[in-house]
Amino acid sequence: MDLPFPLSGDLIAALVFPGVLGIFGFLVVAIWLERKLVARVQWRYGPLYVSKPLGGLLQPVADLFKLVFSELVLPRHTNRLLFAAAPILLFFAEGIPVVFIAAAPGVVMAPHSYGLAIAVVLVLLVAVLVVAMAWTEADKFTYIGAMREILLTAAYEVPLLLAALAMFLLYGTADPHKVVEAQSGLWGVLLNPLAFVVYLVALLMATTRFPFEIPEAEPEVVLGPYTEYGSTLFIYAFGANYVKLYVLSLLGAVLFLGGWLPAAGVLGVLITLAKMGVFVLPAMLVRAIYPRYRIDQALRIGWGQLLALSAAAVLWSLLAAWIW
Amino acid sequence: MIIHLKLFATAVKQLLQPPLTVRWPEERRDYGDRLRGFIVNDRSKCISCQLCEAVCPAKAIKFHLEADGRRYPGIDWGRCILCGYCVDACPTGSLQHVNNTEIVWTDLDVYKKPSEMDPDDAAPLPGTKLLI
Repeated sequence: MDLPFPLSGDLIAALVFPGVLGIFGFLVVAIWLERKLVARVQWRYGPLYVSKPLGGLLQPVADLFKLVFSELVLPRHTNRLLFAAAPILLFFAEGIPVVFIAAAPGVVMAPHSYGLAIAVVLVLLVAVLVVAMAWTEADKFTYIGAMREILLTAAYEVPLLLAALAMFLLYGTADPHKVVEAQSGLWGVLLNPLAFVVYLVALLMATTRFPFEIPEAEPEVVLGPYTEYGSTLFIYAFGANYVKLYVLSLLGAVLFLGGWLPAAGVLGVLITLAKMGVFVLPAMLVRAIYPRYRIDQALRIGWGQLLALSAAAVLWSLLAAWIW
Repeated sequence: MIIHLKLFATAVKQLLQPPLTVRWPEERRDYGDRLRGFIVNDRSKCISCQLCEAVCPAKAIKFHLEADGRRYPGIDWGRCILCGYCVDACPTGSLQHVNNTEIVWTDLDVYKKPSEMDPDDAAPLPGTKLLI
């Protein structure tokens, strides 16, 4: 096949993985996997009505179609432009950190020597947009949800930053390629297990997965910051959370699990994808395992144990870097 | 820390076990042959004593006049709680449980009113999945 443009690594990264196709494919597969895994833990079958031979894989796609064709309500008392723009901005802002993360050697949209550090910061900045979205909706449930989101963000972002910092200190770089090269002997999870644990818990908090599903606690605040949205805007608003999980899993796979090692090229991309499962599968399973923490309990974990652990992880990295 | 690992281990253990629910209507439960299912009246034995109406706690049974000049119990299956009091009270054994709790008409042509039904019409479809 003769393409009018060269099929370079950054183009593949933008269009296939970890770019557009990866994100939308992840949305479908993650929602299906979550429902299926939780159903199997509870001894049920899970969704089977649509596409039974595929095990109901097309159920999220059917739900997507149903949502697209349902009526879009823009409440009159809100700023309607911002109301419509906020979830779309949020969805794509959640995806932006992917630009700086490599899925295989050369498969990265914007190679940068501080790429992973920029990605971490971008992930943390997006929480502002969730609060902005809740604010434009002008509703008591979204207000409570936004307050909880702010509190939870304050609780997880310091440990998340420190966990990433610990790994950057250990590797001496934040370039995605050099970070993976540094793990050619031992993976980051073995070099600094404390940072890995902190990262995993902070990931659950950041994506508001189950023990920390406090901002959108359904029996308490309907859906928190996502309450007022329906139709297509709901897809963007609620999909944003899954995009965040995707980004953090990809970042975790590169930071802790050696990224595309021990292969390169297409096989490397597949290995990165498989390693993302180490973060995605527990995040899906927790829905069947845990009850929900109260906000004060979550804050105590975030500002107490998690912060102490992340500080210990940084010290561990400093010691390890000093010994070598 | 240990407790969280235990929780995950339990979840994974349950994940590997087969589902307990059935994919109705492709799979059906085998409830055995002594199920207290829907209650059907056999007119040839009925003596119109109205004991069943008197004993019914859900007030599901009403007597109505039929073309042969006698009164027969009509059972509202929307109200019936399948307790079986009427079956116990029936002196001739004309009211009986059938071995079926799910009666579905796929078409209006095959639909029958409860008063037109024989016990054979409410025969259960064979179940394949055991209860335990």
